[in-house]
Amino acid sequence: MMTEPTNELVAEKLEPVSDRQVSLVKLSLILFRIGATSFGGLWAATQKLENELVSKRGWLTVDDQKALMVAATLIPAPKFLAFGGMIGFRLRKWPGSIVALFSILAPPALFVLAGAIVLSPENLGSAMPVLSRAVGIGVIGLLFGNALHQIRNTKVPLRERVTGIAIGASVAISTIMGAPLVIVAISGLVIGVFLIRPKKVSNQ
Amino acid sequence: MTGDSVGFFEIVMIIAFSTLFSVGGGNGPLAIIQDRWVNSGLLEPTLFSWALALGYLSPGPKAGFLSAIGYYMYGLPGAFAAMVGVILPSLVGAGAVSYWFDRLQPAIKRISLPAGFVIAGMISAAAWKLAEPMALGTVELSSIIAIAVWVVWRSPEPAIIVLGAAAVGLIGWAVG
Repeated sequence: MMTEPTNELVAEKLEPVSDRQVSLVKLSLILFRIGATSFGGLWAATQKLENELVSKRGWLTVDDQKALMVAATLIPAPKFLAFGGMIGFRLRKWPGSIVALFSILAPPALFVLAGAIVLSPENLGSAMPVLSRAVGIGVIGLLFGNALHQIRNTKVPLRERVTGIAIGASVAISTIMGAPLVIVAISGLVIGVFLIRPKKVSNQ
Repeated sequence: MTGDSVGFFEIVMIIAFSTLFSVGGGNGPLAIIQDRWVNSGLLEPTLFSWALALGYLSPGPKAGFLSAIGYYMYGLPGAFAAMVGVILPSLVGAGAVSYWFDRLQPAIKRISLPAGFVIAGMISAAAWKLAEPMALGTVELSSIIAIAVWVVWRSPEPAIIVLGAAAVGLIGWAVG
């Protein structure tokens, strides 16, 4: 089981790598392979990433990798993509980042696209309504589970946790009742920033 | 495909905007997409669920499900637009954080803490809105609760849940 790196003082480790040149083609191939063979998200892929990027290629040190994984959680983008983008950026700046992002996203995007084209409602015929209802139930359960998991994984003291849950519940109820999601979400974030402070949290 | 009034650039913009709600690894984008396209009738709820299910089954970043959303909205150009939409904020974020990690860290950390709760609320609302039109029975509701508890308790691989649900659906179809 992989654990999330917890050291947050990693700024000094995010310096550009040496002027070693990695070709964009090679970068693309490696990240495509990582995207095509990693299951379970960024944390679950830690070992594979270490094997590929640290042991085999020497593009990163273990500490670099941890630093980038922590940094990826701070970027408002999917973590795996953010991680790939930073790898590309460290190796070949902006072109590297663009190539890395497209390469790591291509396998799941193509897989899903192929699934969407091949497993269309027309192709599945009478099985589609039953199948989509069953899958829908699974997805709904997953989403509720993910929401609870999200709350559980936010490490704050009890008082902030209760406040956070109240904010989350307000966001959910307001959205369900028809309030504009974007306004509700931004309001929740603004209120949350004032009521749930990192300093307060770390003091306790 | 269900949408005929959504173009390439709208897909890029909506997906890019929705991606901003991924901070900390949340599933915020799906709530925005549901709000903008499913609730407005541009994308059928079943196709939305289907795209999510395919995303859970795929390797690599889960954002791959957005390609199916783009495809359902605007065909193959829509799938490409969705990829561009998710890559743009990732690119800017990765570049900016690589440059200014130490400066940005406190600000992003302040947002990250409440973001977990806000995103949880957004995901819950998205799940609720998917469930609402399905008029679920007692067994189905119990299944949803059981799956949610399982996810929180054991963090199973999402693909297992989706495949299991699909297997149950296929058995139900074959028997019925």
